[in-house]
Amino acid sequence: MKTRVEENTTLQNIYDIKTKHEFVDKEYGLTKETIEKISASKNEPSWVLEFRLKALELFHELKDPDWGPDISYLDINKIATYVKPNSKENKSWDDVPDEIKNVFDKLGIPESEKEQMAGVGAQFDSEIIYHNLEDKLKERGVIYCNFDKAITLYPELIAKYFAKIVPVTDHKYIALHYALFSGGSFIYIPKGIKLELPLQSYFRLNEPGAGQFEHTLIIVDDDASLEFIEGCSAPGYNDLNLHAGCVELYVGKNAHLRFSTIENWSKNLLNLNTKKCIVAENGKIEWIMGSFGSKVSMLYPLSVLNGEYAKASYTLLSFAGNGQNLDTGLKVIHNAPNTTLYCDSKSISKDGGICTFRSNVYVAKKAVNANIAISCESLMLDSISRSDTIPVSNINNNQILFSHEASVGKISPDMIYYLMSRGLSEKEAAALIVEGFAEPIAKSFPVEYAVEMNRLINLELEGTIG
Amino acid sequence: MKQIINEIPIKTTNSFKVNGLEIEIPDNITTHFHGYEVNDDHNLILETTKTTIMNHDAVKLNIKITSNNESPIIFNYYFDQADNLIEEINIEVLNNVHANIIFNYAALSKEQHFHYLKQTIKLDNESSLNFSTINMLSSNATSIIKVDNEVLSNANLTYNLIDLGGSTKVSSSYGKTYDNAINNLNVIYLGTNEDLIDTNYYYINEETLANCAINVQGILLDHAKKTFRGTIEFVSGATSSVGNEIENCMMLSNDASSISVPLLLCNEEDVIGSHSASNGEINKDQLFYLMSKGLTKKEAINIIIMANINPILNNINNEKIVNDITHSIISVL
Repeated sequence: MKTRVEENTTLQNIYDIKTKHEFVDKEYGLTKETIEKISASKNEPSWVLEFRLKALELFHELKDPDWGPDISYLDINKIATYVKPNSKENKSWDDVPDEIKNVFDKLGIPESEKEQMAGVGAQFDSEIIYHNLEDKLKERGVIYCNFDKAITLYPELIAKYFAKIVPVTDHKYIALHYALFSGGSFIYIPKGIKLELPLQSYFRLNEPGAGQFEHTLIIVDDDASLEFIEGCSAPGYNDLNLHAGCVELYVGKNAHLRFSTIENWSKNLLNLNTKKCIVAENGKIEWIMGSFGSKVSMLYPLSVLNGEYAKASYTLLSFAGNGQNLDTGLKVIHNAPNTTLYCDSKSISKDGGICTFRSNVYVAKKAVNANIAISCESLMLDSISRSDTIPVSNINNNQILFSHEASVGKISPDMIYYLMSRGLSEKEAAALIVEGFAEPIAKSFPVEYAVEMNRLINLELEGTIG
Repeated sequence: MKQIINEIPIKTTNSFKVNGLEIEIPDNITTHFHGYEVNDDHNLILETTKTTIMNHDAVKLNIKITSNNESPIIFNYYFDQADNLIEEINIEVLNNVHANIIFNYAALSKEQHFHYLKQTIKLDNESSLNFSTINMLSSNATSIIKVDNEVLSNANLTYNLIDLGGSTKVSSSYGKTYDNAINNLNVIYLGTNEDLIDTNYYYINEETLANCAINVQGILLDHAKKTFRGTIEFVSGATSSVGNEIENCMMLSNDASSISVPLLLCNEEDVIGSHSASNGEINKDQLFYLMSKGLTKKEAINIIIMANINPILNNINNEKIVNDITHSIISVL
């Protein structure tokens, strides 16, 4: 049974709004001089420049991965590696230039800050243009600031954590990131502090042919908790854009971090992002990710469960349409006894889109009584799309519970028939089934973001459903 | 000579070294074997010739099955002293023929036998074959089994691989399933001591209503290491086809290690595909239940293991061979 969804003119793609903005500086390519210029413009300590130059050398030495989607057409010399907007960092949206503020208004960022956030950061191309945190949280010792500023403001924390969770040698594109990193967020939640409202950072890549290399470092100290929401989007252009960000997370003893991402990059962008988290005793990391955009994504958040009773949970949704190759998944290292991993992954492929789920789970010999459950469901909306599941588990003791389940299929004609017999049109029935498929992921977000995710699903479903 | 074998169809990260197996095939291995015994060959056309496999002299056996047989045709191979065997066996089951065949490889001595078996199996339209390959070589042997099969329209293949013997057990199977055909692979492996077990099973549903399944039941003891690779692929056009993959690794030792790579590749919407993998020690609740009924722990473990593997052993229609397999497994538990 084939279902067509008619063009829904009420749905506007707010993510595709193109803004004409006069940048202050725009650097192309990847040379020592470019990096020196970026570093100088940020007044960085000398060790940062040395680190960047070492990363540059590594980038040239390391090879592209010989697995995963083809990214051989990426020519870094054609990427604008640094684009400085014509705005300083502001603490009031009123001070943000109108053309930039309009973009974030349409994305709903200032509005959500008023209603449901404890703090917000907003990045436009290579620089943070807005950052704010509730005063009462500052008084309790919470730090939430531009990562560039944190390097000079909090040198001890930076020395302890920066590039330690994700080392510069990790892979070629993390070396590129460390050579060019700019913007991003630094968060420190002191011991025992539990934030009731989330913090949100939004990364907007506006300039055609540009790269974004923001660095996010979050430290949730012992007995603390944080919910962090990361949003990403870019308008569509013909030029290739690149995102090679890095997220380093540390979750202390008995601490809890929920890291949610709604990613809707434009379909001319390569998303080569790296995310890692180290979890101490009885700590918990929750990854919630909705991946809708980008031409190619390669993203496999890693959790290192270093402390006894540490937990990781993953709630993942990918939606690949025409021309998209979303290669996502997870990596988990069980490195202590009584650790737990739970993963619920869902993917939807349509119009020739490719969804690939990769999981890599390693259980060390000492990680006895590990409890691991991975579930992966794929929905194919047509026969020109593709859905692959590539899980790997490496288990080195027998005192564990490990299960992996995966399934792939289409929208059941019986379900369509049932819903139509209850008065729904064929397109309504199909859309309802897809929304129901994604619901476990959507409901993991705060309610406003669940609505946003459903809006994205409906945007993606315009055209053929199956 | 080092070779990369058992490569998965789509590469993944290199960190776990699961994309393939690098194995050394000794240059000085020469086939030295006295031949097989077969219980009943009147329904077969047999042809034995020489061939070359990996630059080694090898024996080639072509088998054409021309009429039905109910009780299994059994080929027995007994490895003794300095025996090594590199062989190619090609089997074709003709249209509408229903056959049952067992290849049984056993050891008469504990030498370091080397056995490389390359099998191709073709089932013509409307045919069926229940085929078993049983490796019960000595614990010092090296066994490499490579099976390619094609199951044509409305045919039905059940392939049972019982991989018990040898300190190195490498197996692969590449299966293509066509219109309304059934292609089932059932595997039992046993790893003891420092055994290395490496597998790669890749089944493709090529046409509409194709139905394939991979069912692997494993037992690991001591310091045995196992890598399981299993792939089910649905190509575009394989509408209404079904593919299922199950791997269950029973780890009876805390020193054993288990790597699993169960792939599901899908290029067709109108399919039902699933895979599941479970690894770990014997379920404690099951053990407790059986022990509460008066069984010792060892007896309870034996029962649970046999319950997992018996559905596969039931496909082997020879009581003596099944008893030998059962004894071989129970004796090391």
